[in-house]
Amino acid sequence: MSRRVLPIAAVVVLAGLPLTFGAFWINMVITALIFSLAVFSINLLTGLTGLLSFGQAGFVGIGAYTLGVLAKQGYPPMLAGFYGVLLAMLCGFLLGLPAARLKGHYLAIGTLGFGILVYQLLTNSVDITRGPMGLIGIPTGGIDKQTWYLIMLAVCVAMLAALAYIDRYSALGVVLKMVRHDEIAAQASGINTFAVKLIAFTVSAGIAGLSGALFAAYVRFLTPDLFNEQESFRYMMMAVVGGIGSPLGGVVASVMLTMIPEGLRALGEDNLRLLVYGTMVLFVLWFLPTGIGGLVERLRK
Amino acid sequence: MKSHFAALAAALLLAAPSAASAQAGSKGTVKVGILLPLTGNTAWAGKTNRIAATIAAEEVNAQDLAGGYKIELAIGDSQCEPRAAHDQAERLISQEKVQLLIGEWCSSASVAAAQVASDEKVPLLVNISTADQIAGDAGPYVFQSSMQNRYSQQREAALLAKDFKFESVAIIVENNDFGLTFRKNMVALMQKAGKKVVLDVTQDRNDTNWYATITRIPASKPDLVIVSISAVQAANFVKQYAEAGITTPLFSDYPPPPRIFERQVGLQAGKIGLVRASFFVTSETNTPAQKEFVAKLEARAQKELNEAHDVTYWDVASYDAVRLVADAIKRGGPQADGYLKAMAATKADLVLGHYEFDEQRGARPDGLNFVFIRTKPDGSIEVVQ
Amino acid sequence: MFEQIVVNGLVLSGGYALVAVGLTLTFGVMRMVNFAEGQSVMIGAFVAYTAVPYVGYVGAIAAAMAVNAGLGVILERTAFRPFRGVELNGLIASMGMSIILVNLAELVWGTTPRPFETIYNETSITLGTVGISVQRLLCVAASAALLLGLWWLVQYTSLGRKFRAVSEDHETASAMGIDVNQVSRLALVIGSMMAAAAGALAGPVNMIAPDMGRTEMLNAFAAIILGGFGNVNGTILGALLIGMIQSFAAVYISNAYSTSIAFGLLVLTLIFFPRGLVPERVDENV
Repeated sequence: MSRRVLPIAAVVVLAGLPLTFGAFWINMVITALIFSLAVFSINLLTGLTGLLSFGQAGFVGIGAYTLGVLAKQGYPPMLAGFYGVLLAMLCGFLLGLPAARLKGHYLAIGTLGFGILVYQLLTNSVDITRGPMGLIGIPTGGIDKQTWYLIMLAVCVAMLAALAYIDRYSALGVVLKMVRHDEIAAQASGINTFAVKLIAFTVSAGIAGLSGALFAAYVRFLTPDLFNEQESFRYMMMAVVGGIGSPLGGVVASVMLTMIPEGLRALGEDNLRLLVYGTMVLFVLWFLPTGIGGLVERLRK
Repeated sequence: MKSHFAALAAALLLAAPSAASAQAGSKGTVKVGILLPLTGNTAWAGKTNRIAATIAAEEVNAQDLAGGYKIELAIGDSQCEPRAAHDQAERLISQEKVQLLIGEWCSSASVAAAQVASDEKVPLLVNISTADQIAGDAGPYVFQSSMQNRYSQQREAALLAKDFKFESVAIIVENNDFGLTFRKNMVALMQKAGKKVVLDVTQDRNDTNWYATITRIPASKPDLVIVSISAVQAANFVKQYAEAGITTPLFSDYPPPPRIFERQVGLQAGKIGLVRASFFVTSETNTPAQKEFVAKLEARAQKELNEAHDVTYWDVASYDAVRLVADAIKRGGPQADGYLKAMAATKADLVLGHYEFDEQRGARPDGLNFVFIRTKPDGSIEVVQ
Repeated sequence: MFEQIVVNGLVLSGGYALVAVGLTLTFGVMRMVNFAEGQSVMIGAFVAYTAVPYVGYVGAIAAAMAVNAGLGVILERTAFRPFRGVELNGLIASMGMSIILVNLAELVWGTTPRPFETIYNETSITLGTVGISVQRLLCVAASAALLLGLWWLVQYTSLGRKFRAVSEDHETASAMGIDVNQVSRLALVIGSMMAAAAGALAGPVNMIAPDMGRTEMLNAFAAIILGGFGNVNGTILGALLIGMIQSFAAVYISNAYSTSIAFGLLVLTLIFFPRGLVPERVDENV
């Protein structure tokens, strides 16, 4: 009984938070929650299925730019966002076709390559995306920050629930985990591991694309630099610090790693703040090998 | 006699404080946010911009140039990066409660700030980014006091037509907004002037290897090479160009900052005889206002940063921006409506030149400083026109 | 023009190879990719830059390599050894280290890009239609020498045998008495020293700034994929291939997509050769 009540109570408390925080911190939290969707995509792909990907920013960018470009051309934003997610999923599928045959670090660098290709495409297709000039004034205004916060909270909670369901209760989850643990045994059991990996890539790309679409809708401007390989590394960092298999840890890490640099501004507007950031990442990795999510699990028990 | 003096003196002394209180601060303080890159790879320029802006704010307050209001600056480190600019603009508005904004440096960051400014209805003055139409695209809350790319490129094309004899030209640019707009405008201008574009290269802005491009130059035999490459990359390019021993004249668009650039690759630039455009360079041709500003900033920068500093356009633009903001406050007050109207009606003579805005809220280019400089073989600069 | 492109490609390859062999050694021995490698290059460049007025250019290269040897020891201890078995964490730890290194460099040297001047930069040699500065010639020559030295080390010395043993199976190697930690440390030391050389050699070609090194690292990744993780010879060939292809592609195809071309090639290779061009001799435990 208490296992159900606690999360619900937590959500209710969280929903009421904006009433106490200032606009700036709400902005940070909203951005962090949007990022956490990208982190969820990694939890699914890497945490659950064991497939490394350093190209998730590419899918985020595809989702974001699809919404941005189409919305500016007059499409209703929800539809544009939907197309963004679809296009991201399609690209995930296409990437998965060759990528599913790659292992370990080959996969990591291969996906990195994909991410870089997407970034350069976004930069150079100036006629569509306006490239480095940036896409400004995406017509999704009119929603205030409190509402955005509640939207993102709802999306994240839904996604957490969905991932938890997949992880613990569904056949898909079992299959994904089998592929991670021991691919050969999985194949021997008759599972089409290739298809499973494709599904993982596609769904994970869709989630990342959703993150991008929401980002575009929220900040309402885009430049290709927002989706370069450094961003992919950032998502990976958040995922690992949060615990690669723990979406809940992922949200917490996302919020922390977004807000801590801001909070550290007290140390001065310069490099000291980022130094502390890097050191904190190292500390978490040294002392919490299963990440924040692992810590939460241990506290539960 | 003495008592008259004493009375006079006493009267003056009594009058003085009340005169002072009628000055800056009597109508309250206006908080103005400034977005600058203070960390990250353009921080070397941002630090002195902050000093320039601070000098301007101090002058405004000391000489009551804001119509009875005091100006207080709040700084946001936007790292020349759109996401940081967005977050910092939000922070300055919601936490620091700024009423007005100035910034940013990089066009993508300015675009982000402009978006926030429009949404939050806080007037923004884009003082450094030169991308076309930032104010025009962003709406009524955004003004742009820097000369936009298309205007500088028109001037550059005019100079090229006048001073350089060429029939064929090679155009080499980086794929950032300067480079891409330069290329587009120049290709059109060249074709209109009947010149042949024999080489047209766009290079990835993160790629420091220009050898491949430079290899193509002698092969295509242009009479003139024009480039739009910014700061560090320009230094890389010039270095490699000189090394390759190419003798074709080279002209560069505005970005490489004078003197700082010469410190990095002055000899190579001199060997090539590089000519480039610049919004501002310290030289004997400076106006008195400019000379005064240079002296002030160099002294202050020496004191605060402990190193000699060559004044750049970005410093001047930061100073002028604060003065423009103060001037608009004086005429229209700090509330958005009055301020925006006043800004639109600006006619100010500041360090960089004469400022007026057109209907798209961009600065009219005619009054603003714009020079061409050539690097001499010993690495020093001469102003060409 | 053709010869010029080849020469340009060689210079690029030399740089990439130096960085890539470090990555491949680290990976072979520790099964982790060192994301701070780009920063090793950067620190090497800055140390050399700082040392030149005191010990001359050649001495500065040596100084850079010495300092980076220390850096390698630190990296091994902080970002790799604690994560044996959880390699993904090690990778992220090296990312954290890279953030720390960049910001330390910015604090010490500032963010203004600096020109790293050496006398070799000024002089250019023209061989037929090919122009090349002495500095770049030095890059090629020095890279070749160092790589040759490394190859000899891996092929013929006992340390090299230990590298190969640990790369193949570190548990067996350990059981046979090889100090795996020491071998790992040496791998990182050598890798960092190579990166330092890359930075010190290539630094004078362009400006140096704390954010340099990232592109070199990305291209080195591409080289490793082509050449095989953990395979030093293959990696050198991979770097050669990447450098050449980039040089030709930039001229004949497009400059705007230069990094894409290396990675596009890579993705294509992986489609047809999922284990890389030179597959690792790693058997899967069934």
